[in-house]
Amino acid sequence: MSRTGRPNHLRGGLGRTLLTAFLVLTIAPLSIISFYSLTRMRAETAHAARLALESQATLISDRLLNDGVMLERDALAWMANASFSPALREEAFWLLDSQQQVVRATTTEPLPDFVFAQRGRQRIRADEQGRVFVWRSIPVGDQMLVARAQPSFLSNVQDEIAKGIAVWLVAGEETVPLTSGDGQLPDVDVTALLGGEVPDWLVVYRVLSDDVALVVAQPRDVALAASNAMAGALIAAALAVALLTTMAAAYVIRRITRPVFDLTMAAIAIAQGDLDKRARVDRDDELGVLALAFNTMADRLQELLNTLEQRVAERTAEVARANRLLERRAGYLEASARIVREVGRMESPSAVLQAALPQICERMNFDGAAVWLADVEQNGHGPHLTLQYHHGTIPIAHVESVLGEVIEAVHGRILRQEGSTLLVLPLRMGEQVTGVLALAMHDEAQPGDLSTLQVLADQLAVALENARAIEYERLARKKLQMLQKHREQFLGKMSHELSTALNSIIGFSTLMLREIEGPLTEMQRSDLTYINRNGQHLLNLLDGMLELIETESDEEMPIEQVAEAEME
Amino acid sequence: MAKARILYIEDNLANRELVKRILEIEGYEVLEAEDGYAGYEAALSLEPDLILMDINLPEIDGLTLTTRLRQHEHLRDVPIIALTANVMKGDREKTLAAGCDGYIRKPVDVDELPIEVERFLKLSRERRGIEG
Repeated sequence: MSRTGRPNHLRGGLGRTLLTAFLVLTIAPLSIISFYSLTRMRAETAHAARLALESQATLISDRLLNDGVMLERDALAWMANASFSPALREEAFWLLDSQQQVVRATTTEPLPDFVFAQRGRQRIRADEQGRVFVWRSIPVGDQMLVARAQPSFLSNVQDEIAKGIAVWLVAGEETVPLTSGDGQLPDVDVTALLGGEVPDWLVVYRVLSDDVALVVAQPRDVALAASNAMAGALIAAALAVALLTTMAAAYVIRRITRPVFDLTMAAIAIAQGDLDKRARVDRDDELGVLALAFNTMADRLQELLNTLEQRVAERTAEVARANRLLERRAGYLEASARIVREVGRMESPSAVLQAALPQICERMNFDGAAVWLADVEQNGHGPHLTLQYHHGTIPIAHVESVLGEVIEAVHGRILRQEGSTLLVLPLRMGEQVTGVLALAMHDEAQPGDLSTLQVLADQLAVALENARAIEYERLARKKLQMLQKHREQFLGKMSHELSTALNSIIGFSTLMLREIEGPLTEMQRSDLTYINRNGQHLLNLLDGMLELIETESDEEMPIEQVAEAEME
Repeated sequence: MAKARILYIEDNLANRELVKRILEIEGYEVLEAEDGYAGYEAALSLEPDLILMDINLPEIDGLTLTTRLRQHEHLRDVPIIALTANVMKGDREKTLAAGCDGYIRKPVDVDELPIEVERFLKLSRERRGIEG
C-alpha cells in the first residue's frame, strides 16, 4: 500500500499477489494453450489445405473422367447427327476414316499431332495458344471419332485462383498451367515442385489417363493465410479477452482488497485512539462477516475501555481521596510539631494555651479548640476539670458532657452534631490524664484522625506540663528571692540597731576608761570595765552571728527546703 | 590649729557625740550633719578634708549621697569613709562602687578610728601632692 496519496488497492501486497496469481494461473496457461492451439491449427490447416488440394485434384480428375464420357457421348451423338445439347464447351468433333483423313468435322482446326501419334482414349493438352482441351479418340468401326472440348473443371479453376491454388497438367516434358497465372501466384518450377524441392508449396498430383499428371499446388503461405489471419484474429481476441478478464479480475480483486484495506485503516484508527471508527459492512460474504466481527470487537473494546476508564477514574478518585487524607494527617502532625515547638518554652500553661489554641485552629483548619485542665488536688471523686482557655467556635457544653467518659477511658471520642464534628482527646502524660483537648471542625472526621490528633494532644500535654513546671520553678525562685531579701533587710536593720547601741555602750565606756575628763575611782573603773567588756561580748556575739549568716547565704539553698520553710 | 577638718554625717546623736569626742581628742576639727541634706550642704560649703558618712541615713541613702557628692569637682579628692554596720558580702563592693574610699565597721573601735582617719588623710595628701 502506498503511504502517500490515495492508496491503490492493487499495488498493495495482497492485490499484487492476487493479480499476479490470476495472471499466472489464467493467462499463462491460456497463452500456452493458445500457442499450442495455434500451432496445431497451423498444422491442421496445412493438412486441410493438402486435403483440399487432394480433393480438388480428385475432383478435377473425376471431372475429367466424366468429361471424357460426356464428350464421347456427345461425339457419338454428333456422329449420329442426333440433336444434343453439348455438355462441354468448345466441343469439336472430327470423324476420321481409316486413313486418318477428316471426313467430317465441326471445325476447320487441324488436329494436333498427338492425336495420331499416340493411341489412347483420352488426353488433355494445351494448344499453341495455351488453351487446354480434353481429347478423346473413339474408334467406331474402322473410323475414328475424335472429340475435343474444354474440360469442365476449367471454370472451376478460375475459382481456384482465388483460393490461391495453381493447377498444371504435366504431360511428359510439357507443363501446361491450367490457371491463368496472371501474376497472382509466384512462378515456380513444377518439376521442382514434384521433386519436393520447394518446401514453401503444398503439392498434390494425380495421374490422369495416359501419361498426364495433374498437379495441384498451393503456396504454404496462401494455404495457411486464412489460418494465419484466423490466428491473428484469435490472438487479438485472446489478448482482448485477456485484457478484459484482467480488468475484470482487477475489479474483483479490488472488491477483496478494498474491504481488507478499509478494515486495516479502521483497525489503525482504533489503535491510534479513535475508538468510534468502524469498518464498512456492505457485503454478505466472508469479508462482510469479518467486518461485522471487527465492528463487534471494536464495540466491545470501546465498552471495555469505557468501563476501564470509569474504574480507573473511580480508583484514581479513591486514591486521591486517600492521598488527601494522608496529606491532611501529615499536615496535622507537622503543624502540631511546629506549634508545640513554638510553645515549648513558654512560661506558663495559660501562655501555652493562649499561643497554641489559635495556632491549632488556624494551621490545622479547626473551627474552634478548648482545653480543660485537671486540678492538681484530687478529692477522691476523680480529677476535677476546669475550662482553661478556648478559641474560635466550639460547643462547650456538648463537650463537657463527655469529659468524664474520655478521662475514664483515656481515649478520644468523635462527636457529630449538626454539620460539625467534635474531637475530644485526653491530654496524657504517661498513665495520667492531665486534661482534655477538644477540637471542632466542619468536615467529617475519619477514624485515623483520632490517633493522629492524639499525638497533638500528647505533645500539648507535655508542653503544658513543662510550662507548669517552669511556672512553678519561677514562682518558687521568686519566693526564695523575696525571702532572702526580707532576711537581708531584717538582718541589716537588726545589725544596724545593735551596732548603733553597742557603739554607744562600748565607745563611751572606752572613752571614760581613758580618764580624759578626770580620774576614776576603783569602783567606777570596775563598773565601766564590766560595761565595756559586756559590750564587747555582745559585739562578738553579733559578729559571730553575722558571720554565720554570711556563710549560710553563700551556699545555694535548695528550693524544696525554701518551699517547705515557706509552707511552714 | 586642727590637724584636719572632718565632716561626720550621722543621724544618731549618741554616735555623733562619740565620734566627735574621739576625734577631737586627737586634735581634729569635727563638723556634724544630722541628715543627708545637711551633710550635702555642709560638704559643699565647709570644705572638709575628710568625710565620715553613716550609710544608714534616713530619707537619703549614704551611698547615693556619696555619689552625688562625687559629682562635684572639688569633692572628688576628699576621702569619704563609710561607717556601716552592714558587712554583708556585696556591701563592701557597693560602698566602694558608690565612691567611698573605704569603710569602717560600726560600732567604731575607739583606738582604730583615729588611726584609720589619719591613714586616709595621709593617702589623700600624698595623692594631692603627686597631682599638685
